[in-house]
Amino acid sequence: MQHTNVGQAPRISRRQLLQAGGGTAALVTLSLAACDADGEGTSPDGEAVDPNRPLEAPELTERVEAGDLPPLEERLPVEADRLVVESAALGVYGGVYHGAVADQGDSPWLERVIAHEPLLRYDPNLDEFGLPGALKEVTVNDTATEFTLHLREGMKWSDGEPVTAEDIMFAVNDVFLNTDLHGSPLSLLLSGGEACTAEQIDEYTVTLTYPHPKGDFIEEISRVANAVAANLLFFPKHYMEQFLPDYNPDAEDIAEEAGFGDWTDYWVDRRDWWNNPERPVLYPWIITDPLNEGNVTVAERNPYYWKVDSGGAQLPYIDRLEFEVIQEEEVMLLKAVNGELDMHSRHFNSDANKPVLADGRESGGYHFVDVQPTSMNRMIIALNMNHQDEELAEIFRNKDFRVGLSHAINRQDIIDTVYQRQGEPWQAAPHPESPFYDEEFAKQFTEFDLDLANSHLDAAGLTDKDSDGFRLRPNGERLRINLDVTNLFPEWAPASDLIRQTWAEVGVDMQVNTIERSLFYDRKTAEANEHDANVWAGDGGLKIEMLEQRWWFPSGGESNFAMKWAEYYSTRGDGENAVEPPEAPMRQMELAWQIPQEPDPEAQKELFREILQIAKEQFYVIGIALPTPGYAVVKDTLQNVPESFPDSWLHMTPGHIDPPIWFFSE
Amino acid sequence: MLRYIARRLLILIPTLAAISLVTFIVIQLPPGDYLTTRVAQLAAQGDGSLSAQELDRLTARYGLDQPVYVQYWTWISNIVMHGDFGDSFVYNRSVGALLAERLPLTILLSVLTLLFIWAVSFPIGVYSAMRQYSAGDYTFTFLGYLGLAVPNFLIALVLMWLSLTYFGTSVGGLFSPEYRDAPWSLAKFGDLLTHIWIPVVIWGTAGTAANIRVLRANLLDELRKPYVTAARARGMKRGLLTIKYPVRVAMNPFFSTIGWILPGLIAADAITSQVLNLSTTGPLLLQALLAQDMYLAGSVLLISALLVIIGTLISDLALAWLDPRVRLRY
Repeated sequence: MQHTNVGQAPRISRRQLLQAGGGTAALVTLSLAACDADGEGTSPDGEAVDPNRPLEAPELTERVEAGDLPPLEERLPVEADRLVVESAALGVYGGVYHGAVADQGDSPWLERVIAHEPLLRYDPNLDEFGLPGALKEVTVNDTATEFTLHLREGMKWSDGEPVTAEDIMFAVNDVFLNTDLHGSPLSLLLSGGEACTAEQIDEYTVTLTYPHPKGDFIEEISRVANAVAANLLFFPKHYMEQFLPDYNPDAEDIAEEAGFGDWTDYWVDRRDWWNNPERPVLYPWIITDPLNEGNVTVAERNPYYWKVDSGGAQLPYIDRLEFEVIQEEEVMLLKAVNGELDMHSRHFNSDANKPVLADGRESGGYHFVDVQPTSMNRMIIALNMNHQDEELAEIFRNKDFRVGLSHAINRQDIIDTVYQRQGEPWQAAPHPESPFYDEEFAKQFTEFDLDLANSHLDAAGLTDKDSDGFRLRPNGERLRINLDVTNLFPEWAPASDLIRQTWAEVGVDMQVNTIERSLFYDRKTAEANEHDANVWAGDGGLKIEMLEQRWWFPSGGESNFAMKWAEYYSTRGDGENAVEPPEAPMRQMELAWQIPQEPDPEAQKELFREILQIAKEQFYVIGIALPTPGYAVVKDTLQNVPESFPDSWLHMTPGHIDPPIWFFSE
Repeated sequence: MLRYIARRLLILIPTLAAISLVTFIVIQLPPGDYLTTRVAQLAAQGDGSLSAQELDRLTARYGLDQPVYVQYWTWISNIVMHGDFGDSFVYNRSVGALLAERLPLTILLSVLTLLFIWAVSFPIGVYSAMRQYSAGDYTFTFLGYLGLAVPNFLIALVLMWLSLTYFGTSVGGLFSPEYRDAPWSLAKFGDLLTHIWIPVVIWGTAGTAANIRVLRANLLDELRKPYVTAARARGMKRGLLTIKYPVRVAMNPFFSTIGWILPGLIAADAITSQVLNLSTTGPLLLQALLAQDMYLAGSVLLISALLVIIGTLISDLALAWLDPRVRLRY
């Protein structure tokens, strides 16, 4: 296996195309005029395309010639069914991508770079969905109850086996509706609480029929939150069936032999492709050195990858990906400064590190690209409205109290001292670039005014004070709030401390409680419900407004301001810790339940606007500042990486900007 | 002597059992478990969270809903009866395989560090004692204390920054990228030598200072004893005399600390290893503790404890051999 040093990756200029024949590589310089006359077409940036441009990687050509691999035509889907990926420039084959991954817990980074293959796709800018993906197309009936999935004819798994309707049937019936593997079916297969049925029409067609309208189906299959989400083309039946007792009576024995407790253990282990090189995938690269062994995780080109560029050449361009396992962020930072990471937008890309990285751009041979946050706030303070101390909960539920606290925060001071003067005061409201943007919502109660704050707090009934000037609760005790803060973002603790000081000025005794993140999670669960108040980031608010609902209303395990109401929503009232919410959040929940059943996207947006309107009136949580764009480091030689792209875990960024079309040049 | 060893070995069994019990309880003490940590990690990296059903399923799968004593018994009985240390949740591999992958390098590093410490501290300690209050004594003492006082991970970060800024070398790890996964060869060994001195020097600095001071103090005591004066008076050469008698006595601390060095073989210096990105068992332990990956953490701690006990035994034997006064008590 060829190992290449950083900075020694084969460099070919964009105007030169690598032509390989019989194992020798020759560089051919193109004349711009020569090809136009032949009508051979041009690459997306207007340069002529070489008629002799290789359509597959030289190493694959060699393997075909040696008889190890069927020819390209037989490996790709039939011509009409190939997915053509448009790109800024047509690339050349070769090169090794060098990246970093922070050990086991960081497997999502591998998923994000390698494994973005949803059934349908969003465009790279995340504006439009329902574009062709692993599926050629999906047809829907008028009532949005019947979805016909059309597969690509001739598409292959990475081991050369055909991808067929059988694989989808397997995923639906044997995996996602299998109660041994999934306690309850995933939301993709449900509408109105009932599961869909799958019917195989022919080798390349499956129809899913839902008992109720499933208005969000197309949107939901256009993204993959991560590999274990309900991706119906994630399980190669011919491989995975051997681990299911329904198909293989020895499944339990195999699992035991491999040293696993039971077959579900082994199933999960074999399913996680980053730890299992044997598992066939649909990804551009196949793991050869798994994440849980050694110091480098390696993935190599999938010879059966089913996408082509606009010149008809098979993707991906880059031969091989190497992710060094680095646990320490400081080490990653040093590697980035040294130009050893080809494209990275995680772990060390903080505002505080930006000057250091900017300084190293020239010597390290990399540049920055803008990463647009899809969140709307740097930090959000959530007061626990479901507090086990009913009196405290009542104070927190009082809107005047929250408004008072919000006015007693000097947001500009926090932005200046903690966030390098980046950002502007902002509530938990949609981003200015969002179609749902509402200036009044975003700016309400952000003014720093202690008198106003005092009058709101007085209006909340907290007029008595102790000898130190702190306000008293109705029971005569001093009103104390413990604010749980984790060390995930180092800015949170100092910002919270500034808030503590100004709150003290209006007589609210808040203590910053810095805790480890697993403890943070433990305390805030609906079951424990031990937190007074805590701090988290403002997820959602741009591009994914309707998908990430945690701050709009109590909608799930991340709605820290009312975990018990949130459980009511997520379990439809059945949860052990569920508490029925008051009228306003209840109304929001009903609207939210209605959205997926609404086939018309415009009508869905109307419903969502009403949810936002209620969120604005209720003012559940206190926001601090609008985040400014982040950045990724990109090697100067790496082409086809856009200058700016949105970042969202729901879409596994950078998956949606198409790593298979990245290539190296000079 | 044999009875002494046998008795020590017998005591080892209940001691180990007690240690394993305490270890397991300590790992279980913090609130939450592997799964809560995992959920927090996923959320921290912006990768969503597991659904409640998925969590319940995983809890049952790992037996995390069982009482602690059941979990402990499962764990320890598998180790004792089958030599099976259990599986690491984080890595989804057996603990034995993980340790086997990392132990050789860890031991190599630790042995080299030990040799480095002895090689440096022994001559300096002797020199400092014999030339007490000389310029050399002060210089070495100062350097030694500096090594002791500055945290290892800080030295590591500074060294990495220097090597990056002035030499532009790739930082972290024990091998250059091209040798990382290559099979062992002379070239790979050479590559290892060019990297391995950094952690050895970093770890060595702290241990060196302590050893210099102890050796110096002991030797100073010895040098003033009447037998030394008497031997000198009889015309014995100073250098030979010092090496043959006082130094031998003053070396007791070298042997009595073997017991502490052995567990270092496996636990290594976790933080420095983490910073230097070394694939030793140190970061593995750190990671396991952070993630509450209890089988992995428990196994490493258990093996460390075993090594402390064995190390102490070896220390006692070595001391008994070195110093007849110790031996005579038994």
